Amino acid sequence: MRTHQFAVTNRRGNWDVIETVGHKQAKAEIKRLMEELELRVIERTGQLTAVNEELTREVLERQRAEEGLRKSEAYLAEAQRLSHTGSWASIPATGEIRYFSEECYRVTGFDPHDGQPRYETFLQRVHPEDRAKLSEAVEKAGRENAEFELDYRIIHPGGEIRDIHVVGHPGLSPSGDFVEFVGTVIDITKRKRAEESLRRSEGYLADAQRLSHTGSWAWAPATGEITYCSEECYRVLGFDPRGGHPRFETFFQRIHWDDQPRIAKTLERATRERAEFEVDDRIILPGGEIRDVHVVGHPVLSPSGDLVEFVGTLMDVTARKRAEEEHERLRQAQADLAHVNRVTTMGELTASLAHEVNQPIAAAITNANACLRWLARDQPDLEEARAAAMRIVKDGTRAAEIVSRIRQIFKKGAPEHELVDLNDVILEMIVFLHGEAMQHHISFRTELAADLPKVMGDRVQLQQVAMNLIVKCIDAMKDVDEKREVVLKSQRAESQHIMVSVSDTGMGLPPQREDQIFNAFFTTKPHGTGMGLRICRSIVESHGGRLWAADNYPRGASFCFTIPSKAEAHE
Amino acid sequence: MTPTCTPTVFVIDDDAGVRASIQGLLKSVGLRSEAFGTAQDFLSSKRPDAPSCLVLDVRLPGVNGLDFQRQLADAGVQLPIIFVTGHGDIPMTVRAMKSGAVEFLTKPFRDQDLLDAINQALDRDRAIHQKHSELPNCDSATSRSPRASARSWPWWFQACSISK
Repeated sequence: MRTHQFAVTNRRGNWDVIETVGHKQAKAEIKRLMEELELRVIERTGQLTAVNEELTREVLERQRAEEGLRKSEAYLAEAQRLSHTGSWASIPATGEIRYFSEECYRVTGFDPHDGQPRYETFLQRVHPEDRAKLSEAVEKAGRENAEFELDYRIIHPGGEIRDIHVVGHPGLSPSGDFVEFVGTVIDITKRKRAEESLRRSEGYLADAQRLSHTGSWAWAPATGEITYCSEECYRVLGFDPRGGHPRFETFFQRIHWDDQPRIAKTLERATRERAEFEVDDRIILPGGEIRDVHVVGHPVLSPSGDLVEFVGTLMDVTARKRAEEEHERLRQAQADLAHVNRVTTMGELTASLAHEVNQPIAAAITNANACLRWLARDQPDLEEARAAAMRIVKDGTRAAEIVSRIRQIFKKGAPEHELVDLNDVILEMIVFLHGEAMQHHISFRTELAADLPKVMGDRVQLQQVAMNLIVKCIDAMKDVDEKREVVLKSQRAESQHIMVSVSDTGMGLPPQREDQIFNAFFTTKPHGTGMGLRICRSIVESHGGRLWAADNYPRGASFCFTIPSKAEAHE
Repeated sequence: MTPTCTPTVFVIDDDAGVRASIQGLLKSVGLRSEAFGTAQDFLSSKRPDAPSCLVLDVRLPGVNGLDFQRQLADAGVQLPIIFVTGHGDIPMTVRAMKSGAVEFLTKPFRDQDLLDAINQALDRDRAIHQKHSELPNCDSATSRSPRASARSWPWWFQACSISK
């Protein structure tokens, strides 16, 4: 439809729009169009507003996402820092390191301000001994599109060496081509040190176990399982460590059948009473060899007091047992030798010993005769007769004592330990050797300490030492023209020892051979065995003491020995 | 008889039991005795003005019996000696007897042998004293000459013996 409009002047001179029918139609059309336009503007505005709101929301979301990412990155960095784990991405072929996390810098010792290092620069930092190993692993993984994982050392600029564990994973393109390695580096220095120290301490323990022939074990009686068995345990018991922990039954079969019932009983009781146990038994190895073992077990209880397991040690005491047996044989031989020496010495003293016995016998006979005379009188004098009889009793007792002392020294037996007063020993031997000394015009003098503590020892052996030393002194003075005197002293010495010295005024020790007199077979006598002093020394030493000799001024020699007082004599 | 005239038997033996037994025997026959453990002890005692003799053990501490016999002889002390010993050998016996011992007895000895020897020794001492008229008349209770009092052994003898 066409619009028709005319402009005409009205009465007031203004232009009026004169509408025609067409004009009106056009006008309505315009109006409609206007309204339509308006609606579209409103609609568009609405759309734009919505878009704007959408955009704002998106911006906010992005901001939030970025915030989250930042946070998460911070968390990651913190986690990396805490776990000493850095992450990286690298293309070794081009030498490019594409990504190097903050922790990577710290772990590898690079300065973040210098930017990401190149691969070659990084390799320079690797410990020379590990460099080839690392390069090879990386190259190989690159060739094979495979992962790699290894430990190497890196040297920080300060010279500090860090242990690093690296894991690399090949990153592939969608088409499956190798793009780069991504991975982690972990600083494992502390762990390595701890491992090393653990290994070292385990090594020490293993050494100690090996050296002391002591294995350690754990055994759970409830399941019959041996839960732990150290290397030395395997060795002592003759099990192959590669076979794993043996079952308890298997172990039990190795025990000597004679010992099995006893061991079973002990273990049964220890299990029942949840108590410690300690047993000695013999193990028969597959080859037939027998080992002596000493086993100690300690119960481990749960918080509720139930027996969880026994832990303990197993010690190979075979060598010690053999040594003990050997020692016992040696001790027996020594005792035999000592006996021979006593008998020999007594043989040399026969004449004077006979004299010692003869004296009280002679006195008894004379007293008996006197007694008879008092009784044979017309008026028997009973008082005098009784006095004489009393003297006979005394003489007889004395003779018996001497004989018993001789018998004691002749006695052959295992050494007995008792508390012995060394002063008594000295005085007994003076009585014993009185005759021998008299024969050579030798006198005894004693300087014995009062209240001398007793010693723990074998009386006969200690008497033998005193006897031997006194006889040596007597021998040394036989050919001396001057004063002949044996001085016997006892005194307290250092560290709770008793010291006894026997000194003479004889010819002194053989010059330049002072040290040799204690050697076996050293003798200055034509018929001497040369064992006397040697035996004395071994007796004194077996009592935990010392025996030595020294020259006296101006004449003679002294023998001194010490014995610990009241202490257990060393065997 | 006055106490000073009672014969005295000296016993020197280092064994107290033996000394006691000999003294007991002598007492049972009414003989006075004095006993010593060493020759030195004997020398420091008083010598009585009476017949005396010495029962001497050969084996003594310090100076032995045989040497002591010689020393007495050298010093001119005439005292009859009876030796007793635990184990006497022939050379020892010969030496003792040659030096004038009255008897040489081996322990244990017969009691009568000792008593006989002592009697013999005392007789010998009496004879010596009478011969030298050194002793006062024992029958005269009033006699109190200075010599009659108990004497010591000659000083030169003591000095020489003890120094040994």
